[in-house]
Amino acid sequence: MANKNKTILLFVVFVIVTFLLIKSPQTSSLPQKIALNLSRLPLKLVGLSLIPFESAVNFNRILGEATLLKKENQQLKLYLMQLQEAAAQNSRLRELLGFKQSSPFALVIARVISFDASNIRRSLVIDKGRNYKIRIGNPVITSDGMVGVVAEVGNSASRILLISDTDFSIAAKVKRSNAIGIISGSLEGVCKLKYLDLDDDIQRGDEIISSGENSRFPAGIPIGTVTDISKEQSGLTVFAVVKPKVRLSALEEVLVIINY
Amino acid sequence: MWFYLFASIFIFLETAFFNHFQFFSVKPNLILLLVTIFSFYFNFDKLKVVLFCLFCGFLKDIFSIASFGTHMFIFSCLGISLSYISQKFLRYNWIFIIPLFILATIGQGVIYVAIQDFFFGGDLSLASLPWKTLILEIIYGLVIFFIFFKVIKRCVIDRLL
Repeated sequence: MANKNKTILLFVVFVIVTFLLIKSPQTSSLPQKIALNLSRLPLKLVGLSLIPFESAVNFNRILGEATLLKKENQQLKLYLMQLQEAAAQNSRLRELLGFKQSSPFALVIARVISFDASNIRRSLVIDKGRNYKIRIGNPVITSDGMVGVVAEVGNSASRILLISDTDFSIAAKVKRSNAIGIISGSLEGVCKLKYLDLDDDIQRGDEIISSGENSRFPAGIPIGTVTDISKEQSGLTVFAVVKPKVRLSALEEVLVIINY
Repeated sequence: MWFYLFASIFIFLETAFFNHFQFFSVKPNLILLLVTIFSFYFNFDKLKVVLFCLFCGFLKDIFSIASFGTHMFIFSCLGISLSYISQKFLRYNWIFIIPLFILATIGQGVIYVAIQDFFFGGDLSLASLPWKTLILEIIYGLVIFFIFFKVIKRCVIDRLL
C-alpha cells in the first residue's frame, strides 16, 4: 500500500514538473544543449561505422557515379572559368556604375551525424557548431535546395529544424506566378504551402522558392514542387502539398549559410 | 540495470544507425518497444516502471527537437497504463506484447497531439494524427521485436524474473 502511494505521489510530482518543463521551452532546453555537445562523438562513431558496409554493398553504383562526377567536374571547371570571367566583368561594370559590391553567401559544410529520435518530429544534428560561427536561425541548404534552419547550437554540433517539421514556417512563393504563401511541415512530414488566396495562380508541377520576405532565408532558394492543391477546411484559402527538392531522410552533408 | 543499458544503446541506434535503414522515411521506435516490454514484465512494480519510463523519456527528449519533458510525460503515462492493463487483463505470455505495442504506438501519437494542443495551441487535432507514420512504426517495430525479442528475453528477462 505504501509502495502504491509512493508511486502515485511520484507520478503526480513528475506530471507537475514535466508540465512546467514543457511550458518553458527556453529554460528546459539546457539538457538538450548539453547532450548536443556530449553526444557528437558517439553519434559520429555509430553513423560512420556503417560507411564501409554501405560502400561495399553499393560498389557498382558508386563506381558509376564517380565516372559521371568526373565528367561533370570537367564541365563545371570550364563553366567556372566562364563564370569567373563574367564575374570579373560584372565587378568592373558595377564599379563603373557606382553600385555597392554585394557579398556572396558565406557557407559552412557540415556532416549529418544523427536524425530526430522521434518519427513525428523532423530534425537532424550536424557536426559543426559555434566553433564555425554557426548561429540559431542560420539557413541550411544543399546544392538541390532548402533543408531547414538552425534551431540549437552547441560548441561542436548543431540541431537543424527541417522544412517538413510542424514548427517550421517561412514565406515562400510560386516561381511561375509569384503567388505568396507560408511553407511549413506536418506531423506526417509533408510540406504544405498554406494561406494561398482562392484566385492565386498555382498548378501541379509548379516550383516553389523562398520569397526572401522573411529575413531568415535569402530569396530564390528552391524548396520543392507542387504535387497537389486543396481547399482549407474553412474554404477561405487554398494549400498546396509540396514535395521537397531535397531528400530529407537521406541527407549526408549540408551547407549552413552563416552570412548573406 | 540491463534495461537501462539497452535503452542507452538503443537511442544511439535509433538516431544514428537506423537512419540508413528507414522504411518509407520511418525508423523503428526501439525505445517505445523497450518501454512496452518492461511495463509488461514488471507490471507488479509500478515505481520501477515509472523510473524506467522517465529514463527512456529523458533519452528521447535530449535527442529530439520536441520540448524537453514531452517524451518523459508520454512514456510514463504509457508505462503506468500498460502495466495496469497487463496486470489486470493479461497473462505472462509474450504474445500479448504485440497488442500492447500497437496500443502504445497509437497512445504515443494521441498524447503528443494532446500536449501540442494544450501547451502550444496549434491547429492539431485527433483527425490530424499521423496515421501513416504510426502504422509504419508499428510494422517496423514488430519486425525488430521478432528479431531481437528472444535475445532480450534469454539474456535479461529470464534472469531478472
